[in-house]
Amino acid sequence: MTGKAVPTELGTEKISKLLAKYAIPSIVAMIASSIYNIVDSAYIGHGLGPMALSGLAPTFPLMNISAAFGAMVGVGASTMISVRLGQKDYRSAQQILGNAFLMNIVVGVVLAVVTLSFLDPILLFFGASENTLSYAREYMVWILLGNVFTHLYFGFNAVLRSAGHPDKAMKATILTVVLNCILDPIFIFPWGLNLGIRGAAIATILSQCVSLSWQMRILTNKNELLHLHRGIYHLQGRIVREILSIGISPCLMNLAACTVVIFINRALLSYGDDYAVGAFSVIHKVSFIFITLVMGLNQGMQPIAGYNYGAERYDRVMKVLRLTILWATAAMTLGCIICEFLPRYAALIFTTDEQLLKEIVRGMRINAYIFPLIGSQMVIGNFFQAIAKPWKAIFLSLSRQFLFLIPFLLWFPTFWEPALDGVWFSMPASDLVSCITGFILLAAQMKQFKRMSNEK
Amino acid sequence: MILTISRQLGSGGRSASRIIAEHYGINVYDKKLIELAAEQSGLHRQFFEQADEKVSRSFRSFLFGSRSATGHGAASGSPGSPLSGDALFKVQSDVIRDIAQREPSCIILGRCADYILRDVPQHISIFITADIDDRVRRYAEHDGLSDDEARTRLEKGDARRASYYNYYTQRRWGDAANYDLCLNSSLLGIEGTAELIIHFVDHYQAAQQ
Repeated sequence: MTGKAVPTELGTEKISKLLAKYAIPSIVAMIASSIYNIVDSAYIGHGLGPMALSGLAPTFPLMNISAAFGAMVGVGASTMISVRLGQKDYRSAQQILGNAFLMNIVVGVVLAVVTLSFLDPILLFFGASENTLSYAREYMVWILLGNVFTHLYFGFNAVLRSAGHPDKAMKATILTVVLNCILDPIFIFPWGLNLGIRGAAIATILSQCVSLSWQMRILTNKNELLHLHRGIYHLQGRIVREILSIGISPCLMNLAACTVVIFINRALLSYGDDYAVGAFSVIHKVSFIFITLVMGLNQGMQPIAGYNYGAERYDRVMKVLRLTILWATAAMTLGCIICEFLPRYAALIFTTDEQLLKEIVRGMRINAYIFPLIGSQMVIGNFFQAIAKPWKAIFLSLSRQFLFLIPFLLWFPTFWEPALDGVWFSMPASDLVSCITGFILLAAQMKQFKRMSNEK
Repeated sequence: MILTISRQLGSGGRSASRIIAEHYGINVYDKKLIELAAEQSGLHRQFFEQADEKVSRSFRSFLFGSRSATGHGAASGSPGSPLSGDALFKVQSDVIRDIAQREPSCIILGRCADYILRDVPQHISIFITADIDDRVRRYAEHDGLSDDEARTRLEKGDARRASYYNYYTQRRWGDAANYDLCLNSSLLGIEGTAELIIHFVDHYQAAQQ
């Protein structure tokens, strides 16, 4: 934090060593969050049956919308705080912390009130049916009642990371995941508190509250350079505006991702049934494990590629790109093998219902057809970010899950037999087109590198 | 004695600094800071030039993250990226602190130096303004522009400096409370302004002893 802004080892140390050093921490954090994603669904699927599992599907885009607004405050505040801490300006940093605290509460409460008042129409629009609505509602009501705590928990984690405590932020994440794994069965199952799907929501909120109180203990400690104390809780228009202007971009990207899930849920429901919706949420979670591995790799690659590009070391830029693509492809190929050859075993984590299993296996196989290519597509998108080409980066990251997918989703089922397969096939099809786009953009960039290296 | 001088475009602050520096036989750090920052970080100077005293306010930066001098810091999704405006600012501010430690007497122009060195004891911060007509005339002459053109550029340039300063310091650019001495160079002319500052510095140093 107060060290060097740009570690020059990025230009000298061995590339493979650097990638390991920068990527492994993010990969670990990512794995923790994908485990968290799986656990709730697994307990609910086994304990309460396939309709309860399908009932969870429309709650995810809603929870992600809430998370998107939370990340807006979190990213904005932590970016500003780390700039101030870099200048040892603790007074301003604490004012930002106070403002972020209040903003988290305001955003958390407003979102909860708005969504609770229109909960049924929202869930029906997001892919719930008459059969699954009661589960979705029962789960979501409790999640929304705890929404403020969720926002504070994620907000403080972002702050801890920027305040030089990435280790403590990681511990808080792991604590939440472990607690949730323990509390879930106790709250859900008949041999415990027997609260059903409500129990899963309560367990989630409770685990976050425990972590939140631990975070609060750290952040109220007067010996911390950055701590909560009286006098910082005044909303200042200027700080609020700055936080929002930084956070708006990640927020919009996250909202785009939620929109797609809503489109998919609706298409699956109108051409298929609740089982198809439930199957997609399972498939999404399984593929997400491998996707997060690539995301972790990408986070590790960014500073290395960025620095060497800035230092005009194009040979090293290409080296780190090649190495990251190699690992990403390996991770996605592993995912492909599991989805194509062992889909039933992956599905058994979530359910034993034969009809749902059949649906999952079919969708999972189709969805994973070109997984091995997706790794490099994601890496290329992030690579453009790292070398300061935000337009291309944003285009590529939207292309796979948004720009191509939505038209395909609307178009394929109109001629495909059966129509439901059209929905499943739109996913690998948009993956393929966006991979080709990525390769074309990269090829153009490599040509430019060659020219620039020769000029040097 | 370290002088940090901030100035409106066309106020003659740079020329005044040169006169003061000559008088005391000390260095003025201006564009040289960029070279030093590039040297220290190993990054090409072009990135620092793009980021120099501006924060992008375009539509793109609104959509994809405004917080980066060159529009690619927060936009790159990773505020920690070595090419982000935030990281480049940190490099430059480290360079300014280094200079302050190495050269106990020098002048640093702009670049939030008054804020960066706020805790350095032997440090006077100065803000120089001038009447708008004088500024337009000087700027138009220097760059061979029409008055109207010069006026728009002045306004845009000052707005850029202000938003850069306000973003990185949470203070307000040109707010008298931030500076030890604020003056209008239209009243005494550039040389007169420089003389007054020299006077001020001598007085302060005498009072210190």
